This record gives sequence, structure tokens and C-alpha cells, in this order.
Amino acid sequence: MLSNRASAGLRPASAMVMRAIFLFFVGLLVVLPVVAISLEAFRSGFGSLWKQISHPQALAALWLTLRMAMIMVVINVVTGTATAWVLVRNRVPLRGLINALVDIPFAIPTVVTGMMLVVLYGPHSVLGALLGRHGVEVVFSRPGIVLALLFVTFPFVVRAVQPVMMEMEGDMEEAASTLGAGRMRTFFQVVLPTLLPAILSGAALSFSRALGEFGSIIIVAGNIPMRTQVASVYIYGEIESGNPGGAMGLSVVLLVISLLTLLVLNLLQQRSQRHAATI
Amino acid sequence: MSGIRIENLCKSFGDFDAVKNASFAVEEGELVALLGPSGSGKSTILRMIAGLENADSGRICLTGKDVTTIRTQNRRVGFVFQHYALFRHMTVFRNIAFGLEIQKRPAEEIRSRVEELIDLVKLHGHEHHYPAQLSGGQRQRVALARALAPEPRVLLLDEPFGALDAKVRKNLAKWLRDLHDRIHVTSVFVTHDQSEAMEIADKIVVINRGCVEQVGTPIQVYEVPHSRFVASFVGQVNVLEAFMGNGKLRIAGTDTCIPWPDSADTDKCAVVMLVRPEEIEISPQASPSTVSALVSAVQYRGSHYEVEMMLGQNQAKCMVPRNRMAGAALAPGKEVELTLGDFQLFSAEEGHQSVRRMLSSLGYIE
Repeated sequence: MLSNRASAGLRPASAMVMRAIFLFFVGLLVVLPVVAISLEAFRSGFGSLWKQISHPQALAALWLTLRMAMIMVVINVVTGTATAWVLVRNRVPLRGLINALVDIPFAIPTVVTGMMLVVLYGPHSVLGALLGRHGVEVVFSRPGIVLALLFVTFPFVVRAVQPVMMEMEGDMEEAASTLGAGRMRTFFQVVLPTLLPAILSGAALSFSRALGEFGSIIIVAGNIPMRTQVASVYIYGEIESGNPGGAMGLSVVLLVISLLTLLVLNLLQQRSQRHAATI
Repeated sequence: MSGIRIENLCKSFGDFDAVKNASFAVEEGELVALLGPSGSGKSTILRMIAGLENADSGRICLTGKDVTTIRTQNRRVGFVFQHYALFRHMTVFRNIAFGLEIQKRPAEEIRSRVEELIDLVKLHGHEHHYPAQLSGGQRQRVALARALAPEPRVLLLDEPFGALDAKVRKNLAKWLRDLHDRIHVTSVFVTHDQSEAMEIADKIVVINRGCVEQVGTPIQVYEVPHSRFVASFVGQVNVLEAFMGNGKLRIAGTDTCIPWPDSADTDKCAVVMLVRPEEIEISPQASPSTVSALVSAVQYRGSHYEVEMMLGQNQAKCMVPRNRMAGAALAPGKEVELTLGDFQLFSAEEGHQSVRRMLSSLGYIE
């Protein structure tokens, strides 16, 4: 729809050129690498690929990645939605500043994110020492991974939910209350279902982003096989130790999961477009 | 027993007094318009009736019951929002059924009631569509059906046609009037469009700066406005500065004196005359009761011409029907004689109550 409308304004020749450049770009930058890795992975047969994937250390790294990402998604959905709510609905002081702060995780290099967490929670810091005395280890441990993922993916849910919430204003809740609905019913039957497509799309984006997170995790959690080694770090390790086959196996798995997440996301967006904007 | 009774309602937002001591009543089964400019507090009054805003002070009674402190969800009011506020994740059917489901009515009853309402708002075949698939007018009808479904005590509509384009708006307004004539639910709608209010309301409550200026039928509000504001907000009006005293009324800057027996004993004082354009007629020849004026502009308006002129030091305009135009030969700069019909006098200080109303029965107009 959108591309049709945009090209309608251009002369046919320039529209053709634009389209060609666009297709070439997408092909070169997106499709080609995906095709290349898929072909390469299956070159030595499915059996050997499976052997690489089913290596205990690879499976442990994959399983850890998925679990950490899941925990992050659950927390992010709640905090992200709540943050969007506050930014849209509450007249909090410094709202503009808070709104700008939300995007900071996107702007900061992830390695720096890792450093910040180490400085804050490391064993030599005040907070790290305090937590350590109560038996909570953050750095070189799994909580560190979750914290790093939370920080890196924080904006996704907020930025997905915020526009829908702004558009919703207070009308729908007021309508529900005039029809006799109490607060609980209004929240679960009106507000949540309206926001759900946006929340899920934010969750899906942050999940796929978390699958590939490398920079912050390697600094915070290190590379301890079977304990803190996530998939991306495992892949890096395999390349470093001269075993590209092992790297290939897990890469393909991550790729498939990401593509599936993207597919689900698209289906969700199609569904929510049916209900979109009532104004 | 009245449908809605409002007594001394006040509401302020911070320093801003949105509603000041508003009182009025809506009889059972009436369709009433709250009319006023934007920011006049009319929507706030409507929202207070629904309980969507809390009144700072005053009382609200619905069908004889004091509901001032009762929460919105227990007031049993139907509310229609300007931007529809439909539940976008629900089909038309489920939107309308929402209020009935809360009342825990049996499924079979819900189905027949929803069908009845779909029939009422003429949305057959759209039961399973989502709001986004409907046009603006259709959405507003769904919103209306949803509000009516749980059989509310009163129906409240906040600028219900404000988001629609002019043609749809006019049709829907007329349709609402017809619908009201069939179901007779006590209804209040907010509008800033005086023609919409005049067209469909039984009664108009004119609101300005948070105060109720006048409550009356469209005829009363138009023909006997209680204040300068009402006269100039409802319909068009010419405001002429004049002096009154010693039994005479003289428009500022003219020599013509209109006999005004009521002021025989008063000293000369400044007043304003409010004259509707249709009450000014261009007369063929001068007479003691006509006022002379100088035409300053003539504009074609389709069914009539709008003639602007200077009446002494006042600007005024009147309408001349197309078929009378040829004989009048009006052009800027031409001097004409005017006959004034009905007008009203107000003291020159803004907002002061009417001094006296001039009637054609006073005898100087044939």
C-alpha cells in the first residue's frame, strides 16, 4: 500500500529506478547473507550439522540463552508497559527527560553497558560486596546476563506500547465504566486486549534482540561453559578455537528462531491492523 | 418527576472555574442540547452527570435519585463520545453486548437485545465487523447502540457528530431526532453548533464561561434571548449603539428618533439594540419611522443577497431576497431607508439583563 502510494507521486522511470535500488539493497544486505549461511550449513549434510548442534556444550549455551531471554521478556513486558503508562497517563515531573532516557540503551555501545554493570555490581563495588554477603552474585553469573539483557532491550516494549496508549486516550475506559464495568473488568477486558498486540510485538522484538546479544554479556557474565556461556558467546568461542562447524550449527538454530519470531510478529501485526486506529 | 436535575453544580480545574453554579432540569423523555462555545464548560457538565468528573459542589439527581456521590459504573447512564471510544478488539456485536454481559443477562436475552439494537441503528450485516472496518457515521451508531443496550436512565452525548463531515453530520442529527421520537429516552447532547441545537433539541441550555445563560425552547432562545451573549451566539445579530430617554430611542449617529413611551421618565442613557438581520427591511420611501443608512457592500449568497451598511456609526447587515433585489438597485454608496422590526434593548454594559423588549404591537410598524 505504502510503496504504491509513494511511487504514484514519482514519474514511472524514477519509480523504476527507486524500486531497483531498493530490491538490490535488500537482496545484497539481507537475503544474500541468509542464503549463504543456510547453504554453507547444509553443505556437509544434515547429520553433521545435527552433531554440532547436539553437542552438550552447544545445547547448554542455547538453552541458557532461551531461558535468560524468556525471563527478560516477562520482566520487560511488565516494566515496559508500566513505563509507557506512566509516560502517557501521568503528569510526572521531568516527563520529557524520562522519555528521552528510555532510548539510552539503544545509544550506548553494549560493551559499555557490560562495563557499567561490572562497575556497579562487581565484587569490588559497594553494591556488589553487599549482594555478595547475602549470597547473590551478579557478575560472572546468570543474574548478570538477565540484567544486561533487560538494559539492552528496555526500549522495545515501551516504544511499541506508547503510541497505542496515546491513541487510546481515556475514552475506552470511560466508556467501559459508563456501561457498568469496574476497574478490574475494564483493565482485563478493555485495556489489556487493546494493548496486547503492541505488548507482544515489543516482547517479540526484545526476544530476538536478546538471542544475539554479545557485547554486554561477555563482559558481565564472561564465558564459563555450561554456566554463563550463551549462544552468541559459544559461537564466537568456536570460531576462535578453529571449529567453524560448531559455530555454524548454533548460528543456524539462532537464525531459525529469529525468523520464526519475526513471522509470529508479522502475523500479530496483521491481526492488529484489522483493529487499528478507530479515529 | 424530572429526568435530570442539576443544582448549583461547580467545578474548577486548578485556577480555572470550568462550571459555576450551574442549575437546570431536563424533563423525562426530553431531548436537550447543551449549547456553548468551546471551553464554556458544557462537556464538563455532561461528564459530571455521568460521574466521569467529580463535582466540587452541588447536586445531581437522575430520575429523582441523588447520584452525586455514586460511581459512574452504578449510575446507569449511556454515554456517547465524540471519538466513539469503541472497543476496537471487539466486533460490533460484542461492543453492543458489553454492557449486557456485565449485567449478567442470559445469553439468549443478550442476543435478542443486541439484534434489536442493530435493527434500531440499521447496521444489519455488520455484526461481525470490527470498528476499524466501519465508516465514521456507522461507528457513531454502534456507539449509540452500545450506550442504549443496558437500558440507561439517561442518554448523554458529548459532541456526538463533531468528528463527522458536514453532510453525514446533518443526516445523523436528524436521524437521532427521529430515533428519540421512537424511544423517548431522556437525552442530553453537547454541541457548539447552534443550528444543530435549534434543529433537533426540545430545549436548549445555553452555556457561557461555565454559567447557564438561558434555558428554553429553540423559539424562546432565538426570539427572547436573555442576554447579549445568547442573542449573538444563537443566530446572527446586529448590535447597534443607541441612546434612550425622554420617551425616545435614538440610534447613535442618526437623527431618527423612535418613540419609546416606556422611557418617558428616565434620563438619557446608553443602550444597545440587538436586531436580527431578517428584522431589517429596506423600505421604498422615507417616513418618520424609517432609519436612513449607507450601503457599504453587497454580497451574493445564493438564495439572497447580504447587504452590509452603516447605520449612523454602527455596522449592520440585512438579507434581501433575490427576487426583490432588482427593484432595490443596491450598490455601495447608495443611501437607503430601513424599517426595523423586532429588536431588543440591553443596557450598554456587557451581560446586563434585557431592559425591555420592543414589540411590533407598539404600533409604529404596520
